[in-house]
Amino acid sequence: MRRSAVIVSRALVDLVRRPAVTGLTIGTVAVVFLLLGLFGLLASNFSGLADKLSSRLRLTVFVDDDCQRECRQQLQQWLQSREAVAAVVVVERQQALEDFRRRLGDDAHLLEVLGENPLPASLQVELRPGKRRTEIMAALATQLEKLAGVEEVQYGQRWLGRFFRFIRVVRTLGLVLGGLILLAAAVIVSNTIRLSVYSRRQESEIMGLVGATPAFIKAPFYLQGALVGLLGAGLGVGLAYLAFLVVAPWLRMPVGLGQSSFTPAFLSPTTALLVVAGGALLGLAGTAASLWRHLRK
Amino acid sequence: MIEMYHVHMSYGPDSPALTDITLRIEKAEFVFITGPSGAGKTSLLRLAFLAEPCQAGQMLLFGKNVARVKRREIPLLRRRIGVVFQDFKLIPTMTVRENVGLVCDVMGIGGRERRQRINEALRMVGLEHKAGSFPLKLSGGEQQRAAIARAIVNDPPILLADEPTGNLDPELSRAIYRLLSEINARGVTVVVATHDIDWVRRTRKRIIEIDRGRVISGGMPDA
Repeated sequence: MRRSAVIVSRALVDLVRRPAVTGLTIGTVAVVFLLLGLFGLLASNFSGLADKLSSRLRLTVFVDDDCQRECRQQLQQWLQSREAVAAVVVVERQQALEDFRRRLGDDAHLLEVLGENPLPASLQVELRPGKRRTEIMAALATQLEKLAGVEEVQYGQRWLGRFFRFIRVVRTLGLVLGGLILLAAAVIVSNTIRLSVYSRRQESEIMGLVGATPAFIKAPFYLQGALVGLLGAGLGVGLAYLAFLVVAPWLRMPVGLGQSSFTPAFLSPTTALLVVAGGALLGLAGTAASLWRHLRK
Repeated sequence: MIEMYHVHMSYGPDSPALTDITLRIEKAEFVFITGPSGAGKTSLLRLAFLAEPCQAGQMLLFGKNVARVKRREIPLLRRRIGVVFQDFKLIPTMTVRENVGLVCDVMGIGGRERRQRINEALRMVGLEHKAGSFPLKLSGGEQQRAAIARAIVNDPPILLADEPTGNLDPELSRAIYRLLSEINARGVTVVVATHDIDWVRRTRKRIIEIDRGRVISGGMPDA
């Protein structure tokens, strides 16, 4: 108990004795975690948006005018026998027009200029949740296009591909940049701890000579590192939350015509706590690097 | 308490510090280690409190073969040995009370016992009135006494002192010697390394004389 109190007090005294260095380090870690938080938010919200869009992804199989009841039934049966397919709904030409009219809302009168219904009949194919991927859709579309009666298959292939590629780039960039700035933060924490190690070098040596264990000598430095990391990460996540509160209202967007909107979300409390704990780990890693170099004996 | 048999220690291939050292220091003895500068007195003390490894021969501390002492056990053995360093090794940013209390912190002694031990050690060396002072505000003799207080605060069975009177005038040297004798009278084994052989001879204590890293005389107690 007494030893723990000594360790805590030694750790705190150093941090308080050098407020500028301590503040600067906490500030730097905070900026790092703010950036990481923003990247994380971007990545997780894009993922959320992708999930939301994926849940609405459907294949639309347009059939040609010659493909009547029997032909459509055959196509429907073929689709239902596919493992990836959850449901198939036949949309007749008239119903397609009604749906379109409803989606246009106030602009539905534009349809009046068309003499006859230009929309073809179609099969709306819904995929199972785990199968809503562009490559599966592409494979299914290729097979469908070879079947008799199929005029065209659409699933927004071009923009979907681009969107998912964009998400992949954001994620990779986030990981690489995140790794680099985490490394930079660890170096900064390590340097701060090194100052403490230097200022207490004589004390550490004397403690060793009077019987202190290496763990007892090093523990305050580890505590300092963990505290700096924890406070910095906490501050960074807090700032990221403030930034999110400011920016989030601007990012609400509708998903699809007349569909529900996408609302950006902040990190879950568990994730936020894990990120802050990650700050403490970063501090510990920085301290370990510093002690490894300067207090090996 | 301290036994060395044919002990060898060097700081490098071409710089042997101690060669074929054989000596024995009994419980509650007061022993001087003398010799000219560079004879190996400090190396011998450093070996005795395990600051240096025994590279050859056999060394027993409290009857324990140090070759079999695990690395993690060394701090525990050191807590049983008080050391007064030649350069005092007081921490300048800590008061005398804090410097002395450092040993209590290391040993996990807190609260009232800590206060009592520090006060008792400071009283014994006559520094109660300087408890709140920083080392750099003290005279050489006072710093020496503060270092002794730190070395005895946890009642170690062995006290090693490296040139404890080295920088002091004759009067202060006698005061320090009286203090060490008082500590010895309590049953503590006291080993003092000094180059002041004339002064040591007047004390009629056992003298282990070393030169160029070898024991010249007095390695074994009289039968």
